[in-house]
Amino acid sequence: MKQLLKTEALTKRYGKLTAVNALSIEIEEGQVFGMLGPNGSGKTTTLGMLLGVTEKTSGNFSWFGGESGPETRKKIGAILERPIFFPGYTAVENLKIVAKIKGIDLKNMDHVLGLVNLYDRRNDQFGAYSLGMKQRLAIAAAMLCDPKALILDEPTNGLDPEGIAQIRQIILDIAGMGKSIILASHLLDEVQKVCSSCIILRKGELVFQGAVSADMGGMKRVEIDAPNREQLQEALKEIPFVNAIEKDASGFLVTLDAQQDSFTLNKYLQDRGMVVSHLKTVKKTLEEQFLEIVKQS
Amino acid sequence: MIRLIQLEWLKAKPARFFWILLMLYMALLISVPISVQGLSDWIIRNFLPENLGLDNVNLFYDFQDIWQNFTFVFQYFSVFLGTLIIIHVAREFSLKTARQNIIDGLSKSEFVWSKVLFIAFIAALITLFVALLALLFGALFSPSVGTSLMFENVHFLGAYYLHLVQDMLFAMFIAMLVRRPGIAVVVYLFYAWLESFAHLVIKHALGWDLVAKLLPNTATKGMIHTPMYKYVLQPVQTYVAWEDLAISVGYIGLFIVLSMWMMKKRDL
Repeated sequence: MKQLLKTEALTKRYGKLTAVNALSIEIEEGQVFGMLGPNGSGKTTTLGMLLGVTEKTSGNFSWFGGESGPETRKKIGAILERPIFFPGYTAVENLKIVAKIKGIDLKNMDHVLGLVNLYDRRNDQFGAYSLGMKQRLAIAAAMLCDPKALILDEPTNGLDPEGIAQIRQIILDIAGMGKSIILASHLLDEVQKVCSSCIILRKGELVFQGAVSADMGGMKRVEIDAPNREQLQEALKEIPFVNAIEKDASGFLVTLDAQQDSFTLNKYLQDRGMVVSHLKTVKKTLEEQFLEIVKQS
Repeated sequence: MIRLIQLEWLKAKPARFFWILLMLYMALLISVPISVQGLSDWIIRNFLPENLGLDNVNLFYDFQDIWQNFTFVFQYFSVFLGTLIIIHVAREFSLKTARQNIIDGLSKSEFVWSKVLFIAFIAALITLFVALLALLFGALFSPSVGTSLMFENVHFLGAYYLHLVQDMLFAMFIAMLVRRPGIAVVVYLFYAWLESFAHLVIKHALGWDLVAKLLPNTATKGMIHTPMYKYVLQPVQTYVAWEDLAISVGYIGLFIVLSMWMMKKRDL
């Protein structure tokens, strides 16, 4: 696989605040890559550095195995934070400006407007568009140069469910064309639905890197109940691989070390003469795992 | 280079303010030679000895003099062009299109150069317009017509071109410094007032002629000297001095360098 992006100890400081701290990542071509983190975790700052609008404090980065600079950016389609166009100009007038900057002709314009379902509205002013349409026009602008890579920062922010579904479908369609996509989001669900691998940032630090499907938390949770709850709670407290015990409606929710599971828990209790009435492994949603990762580190 | 001018054209063409300010400016230019007839008569009646026999002669349009007369008066309307450039440049920062341009693959120096080239282009168009205006009114009303006389002092157009470029580059610099169109326009107008005040103090109270001459707004209007005194029979400088041109060119360079430096230094 060819390399799409590599960063080495990429750092941005604003005075005392370190927005991005020594970020080193490598992304391969041809995948949908997620960049996940709560608001203010450094996603946009990182992308800003990679796209030449934020001056890096230190470190390095390179696109496509060793490029950077304006000529490289012409081969990338990118939206940071929100769609940006001249509000009083039509979609076509705005796209002409983008095409002139990228040094490309306009033969692709009708195609990309069709791709995002805006062809019929192409002569309307950008300012009169709904938020979803604005976002879609931004994707059209990013796709105008038939980019090698597409960077989308919070592309569904502020959209209604229908708009979100439309954008996600467009992203999946574009991914289907074999394009590399970097998707920054604070919504886990979004990354889970479209990305194959991801990183998680927290306060400018890299806290996780790996496949989206992998066990991101490294811990298991089990629902457990017994006729005598007090006795069960006493027994659970003594088990070394139980990390946390929470009371809930159907008994207790315990968190186990990663190597343990409900079988070993049950066996441990049986060896001590406890019989349980309810035992169920809870599959943690990615959302919970994400919150856990962000909380822990 | 052509690409950068085309880019600015695509940005300016759909904007209403661009056409309104440009048309307003051109209308003002046209209004001067139309309304000046009365002024000319007034000067002849009140200030010149009657025995000169200058009744019904329009001094203002006299070839040779017309270039200096037109360009000198027109300089005082350049504030409209400055305002136009400020809005054109500063809104790119307030709308964040400058940021998106860089993301799309424009380099920061290209961003500045496209503005500089656009300014040079607009200044050229307006200089051409002024040339046509002067030729038209000269041909219609000049007491003395003849091809040799007609183009005698045409070099004032060159000075006028430099004046336009320097004025608009100053506006671009203010716009890149302040980044908000409204505030930038206020700063630009306030500076003009401040400098005219400072000029009075420096030149007349302190007597530092050279320092006064080096102030940017003074320098941009300093190339074309006031021609009107000749109508009250005072001596007038009827040529453009090289040192005045050099000061203007110096400012043009300075504003480009400062804008470039600011653009590279600051995040978008």
